[in-house]
Amino acid sequence: MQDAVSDRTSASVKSRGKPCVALMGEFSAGKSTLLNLLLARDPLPVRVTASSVPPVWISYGPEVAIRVASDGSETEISLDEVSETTLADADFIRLWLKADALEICDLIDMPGISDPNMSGDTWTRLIDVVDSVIWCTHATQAWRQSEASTWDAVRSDTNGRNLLVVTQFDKITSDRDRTRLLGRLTKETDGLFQGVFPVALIDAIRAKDETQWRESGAADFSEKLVDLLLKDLDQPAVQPTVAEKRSAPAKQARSDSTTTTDRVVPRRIHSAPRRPMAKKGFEHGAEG
Amino acid sequence: MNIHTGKADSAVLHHPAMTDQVGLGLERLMAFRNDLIEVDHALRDMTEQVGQSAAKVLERHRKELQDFEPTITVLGQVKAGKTELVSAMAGWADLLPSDVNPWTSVVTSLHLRPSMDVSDTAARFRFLSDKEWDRLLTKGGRMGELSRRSGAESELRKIVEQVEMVRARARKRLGKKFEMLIGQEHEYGYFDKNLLEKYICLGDDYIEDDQDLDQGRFAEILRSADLFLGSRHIPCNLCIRDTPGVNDTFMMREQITLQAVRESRLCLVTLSASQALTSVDMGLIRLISNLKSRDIIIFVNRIDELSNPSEQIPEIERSIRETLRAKQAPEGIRILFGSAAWAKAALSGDIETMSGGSARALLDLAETSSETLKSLEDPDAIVWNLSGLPELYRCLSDRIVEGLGEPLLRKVCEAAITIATSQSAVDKIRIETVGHDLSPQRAMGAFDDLARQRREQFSKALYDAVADYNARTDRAHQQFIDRATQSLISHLERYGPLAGWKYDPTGLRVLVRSGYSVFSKRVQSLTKAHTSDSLVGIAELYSSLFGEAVEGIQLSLPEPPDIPPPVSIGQTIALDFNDGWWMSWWKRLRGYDAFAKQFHDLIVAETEDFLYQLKSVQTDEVRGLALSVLDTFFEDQMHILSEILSGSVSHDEMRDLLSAEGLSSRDANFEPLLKILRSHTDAKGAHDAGRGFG
Repeated sequence: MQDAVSDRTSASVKSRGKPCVALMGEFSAGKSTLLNLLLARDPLPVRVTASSVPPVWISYGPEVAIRVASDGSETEISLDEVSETTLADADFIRLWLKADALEICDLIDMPGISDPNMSGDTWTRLIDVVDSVIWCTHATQAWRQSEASTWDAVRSDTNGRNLLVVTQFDKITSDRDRTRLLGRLTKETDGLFQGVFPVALIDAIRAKDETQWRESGAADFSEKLVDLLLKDLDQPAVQPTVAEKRSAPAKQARSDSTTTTDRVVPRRIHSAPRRPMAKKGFEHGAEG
Repeated sequence: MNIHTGKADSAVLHHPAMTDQVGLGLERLMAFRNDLIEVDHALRDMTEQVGQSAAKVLERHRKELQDFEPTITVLGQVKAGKTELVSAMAGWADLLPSDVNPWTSVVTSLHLRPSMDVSDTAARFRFLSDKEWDRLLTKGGRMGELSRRSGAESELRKIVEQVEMVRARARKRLGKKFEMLIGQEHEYGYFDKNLLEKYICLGDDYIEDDQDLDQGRFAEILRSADLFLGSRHIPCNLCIRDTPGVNDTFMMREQITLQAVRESRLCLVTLSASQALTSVDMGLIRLISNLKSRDIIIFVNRIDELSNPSEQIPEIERSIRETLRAKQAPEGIRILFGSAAWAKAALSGDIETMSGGSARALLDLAETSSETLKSLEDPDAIVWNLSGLPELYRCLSDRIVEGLGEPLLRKVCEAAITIATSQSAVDKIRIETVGHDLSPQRAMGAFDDLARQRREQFSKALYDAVADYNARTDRAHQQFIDRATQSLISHLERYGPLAGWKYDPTGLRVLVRSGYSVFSKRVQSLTKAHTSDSLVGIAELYSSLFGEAVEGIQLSLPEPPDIPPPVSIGQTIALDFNDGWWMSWWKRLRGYDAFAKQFHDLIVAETEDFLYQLKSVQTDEVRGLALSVLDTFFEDQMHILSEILSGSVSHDEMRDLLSAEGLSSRDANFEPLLKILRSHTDAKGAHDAGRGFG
């Protein structure tokens, strides 16, 4: 734990060899819920209103959270303080957790766009380290112009392997409506994402067996995600990111020691269901 | 919905058990309706006892009362549930077609008429005129201008492409008919689902599918739809307008919505509970916030989608309030919560078929609701109450009555009192003028001179007021630009071009608004001073013509005009958007001097239309309103005068009138009417309506 504080730049350095996936979308579009689903735990509270928590960048490692201020200074905080941090306190938060998903990627929970109390560019702070984006759009008001135009600006900063997740898909109750909604989204976002995935997030979290997990839409989504991440592992970003360029060579990314080297982990990601695994805890290297 | 023949079955409207429920919240509007009828009857009775000219004036006022139709415009982001809400407000589930994807493409005005016959329906559809097409194409609207300036250009291009695509497709599809339909109107003595889909729905499949080619759909070339519907529970005329919504990727819909804001006084901003008050909603509120604050109501729809509404609703409300306060939104915006989906379920009597989540949310809310509500025995009634519709109607009724209804009633009653009291003067003057040598020509000539002179003076005073206001606005504008440019340069020097910078344009709005408020007050006091002067002039004229006979006549000062709120202050300008485009703009420029220069030009260009609206368009309107107060006043006085003058011609009549019975009966007849009329002016009348002269 002390290491993290003494190692002044570690919080701004990417985990070597791992793609960095950002969760983006309008506020209250289900980003934090999706994150909790991916991590199979609840590091971030889910709220119905906009929160002004800065971007939270999560990597694999022993649990520790660090606030990184705009001048680059770092302060270790407790996990509970993460959700109490505001954009005024920190540029972003770096968090290390032991969760399966983090063995193959870093995750960034970006503040929601369209929050009237936040300047619209909070996502730009970490966009240089982002490789892929999972864009969350709320099923009942899916893919509005505010999303389309922000995505237009973000997309060029990614490696192009991005996914669109239609959250709260269970709110659309008739099959006809579901088909029509997906039809529109597929058409309107043609060429912008590598896939459109409807997910009933709450159902996915509550899923007790493979069938429910699959029905929630989470299975298809996570399989595709793993697939994309594998491509990243195969073909790491050609150009070093700004953060990498900034970091001194001697300063190793914190989670280097835990970098995955095989493809066992990805398979674990899509092994259903998630919840029972969370109960079991996350022993490093445990097979799912 | 099946009303082709005009013989509608009331059961299609709503579940029979709901009949007592749908009128909930409309009690105050009902009471107002009774006032309206009482005054209308008083005016009708008066009309029978006054001369022709005065009767004309009274008829005009009666028509004003009969035409009274408060309009509620339902605005919000695309898919916030506006259409469903409008249908529920009309007490008719599924009245207007809605879909999981954005469908509404036209501003639809639903005119509800109090009637026992629900088949009193009609529909009128107006097509876009050439001018309106061009406006959509070339103007590109505010958002378009914004994006052009940002350098992103894609948004403006997108609008133009969409509009052109729509027009081209319509032309191709409709052939010769297309040209023929431009600027035309279609009227029907009914409407039903098919008709509405044909005219007002532009589905998402429109863009790629040609399947409906032969059906002849018109939504894409329609400017507006007006639907008329008899309603059993609405106590007075009411117009509810559904808009296509903002923030739609099919930006033509946004264009259409933004154009409707300008004509709206009472705005119901609909939010979705799952994502309350985004920056887009805030922009919309900013756009309308220059209407009086009482004119915005926020309805947080879709509480049925919340997992735990009893706890989440207060949290959402707190969050909205904080944002409104932080963004200096006008005070007094009511925030209501509800669910059009629940209203719909209650109306159609199928609350049993609600989805699991919706039912859970309903139970959660029902448990924490009031004892009175829990004591209701009919489940539909409970659901209807929880849907928020009765509370919404209560709130709307208050604002309609206080903001629109009572002022109108007061104005009409005052005008009628003036006529009634002058009418007594007509009789008296007739008595006194026997034997006098009255020259109608001389009197009318003097009157015309007076009217012309006063109008010129007033007009000049108004021009001066406008000039002062414009000078003040220009100063505020210049100051703002200087300060903003200065702030940008010092920011760049300190932090460099990558750090986010923002400069809140609230300062400019505050300055311009206070300038406008000074201007409004001045116009009102000018109006008061000049009408009062004119009144004295008229009094002198009467006095010199008729002598003591006119002593005691009451002439009331006309009300100064309602100064329209400066809506354009709210119009979005580049600085309102702290989003990505600033970044790209900086990145493209080199050197801080270039920043400053470019920024200066950008803000000047951005605020140009905004200032033009405030300095020219708005002031023209205000001047017109103020002048019309004086003009109407003189016109009314002229009618009265000519009544007096012409009334003195016939000897027989005069003799008849001279008899004591004739006089007293006429006087007596006005007393009860005056009592009624005065009760409507005194209720809220904190102003000096009448003044005597002698």
